[in-house]
Amino acid sequence: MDDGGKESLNFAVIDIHQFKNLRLHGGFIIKDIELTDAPIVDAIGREAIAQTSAIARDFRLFIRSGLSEEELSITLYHEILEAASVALANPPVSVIDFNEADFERSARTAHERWGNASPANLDLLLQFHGFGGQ
Amino acid sequence: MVDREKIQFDLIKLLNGERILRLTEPQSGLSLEKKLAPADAVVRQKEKLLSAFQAALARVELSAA
Repeated sequence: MDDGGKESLNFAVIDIHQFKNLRLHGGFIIKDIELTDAPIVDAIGREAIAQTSAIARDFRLFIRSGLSEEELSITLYHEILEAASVALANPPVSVIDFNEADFERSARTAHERWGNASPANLDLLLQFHGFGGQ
Repeated sequence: MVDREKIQFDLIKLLNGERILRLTEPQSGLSLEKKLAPADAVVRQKEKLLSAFQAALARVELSAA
């Protein structure tokens, strides 16, 4: 049966270049973002599927390639929301009690509500959770 | 006390699903990490780790003085 090309779209089509040097709501900046084919391995040999670094409000993201479009979108929502929460000395009350499952749930809800992660949708996510504008 | 703005916070998602939070102070190279407890609040775990990290940094600075 013809799937109208849907099968061929079942991989990451989000253009990550749109997130590079992106200023987000709350004064956060995605300084760099990279999808990498190479394993992300730390000094003691542990392999990671994503790593987000935050210094003050500057973020750098490394994500293993090969994720589906939906997985990549949810990963972006999750990484940005959690990194913003960790980066601030006083994050919004709405995220203070979030554990890992709560961040994942919020990322999935954002994807279902607003669609693929995009610069505008990441701003919506941060606004929705009460991060201040800067 | 070290300027919080200079501390690097790394959130790492491992292949096995575990989440690591690592704090690094670039000048001293001091680094401290914790596997995040999945059921506990991430922000509170970060604050505890940050307190321990700042105490360790203070000891490093004292021993270097």
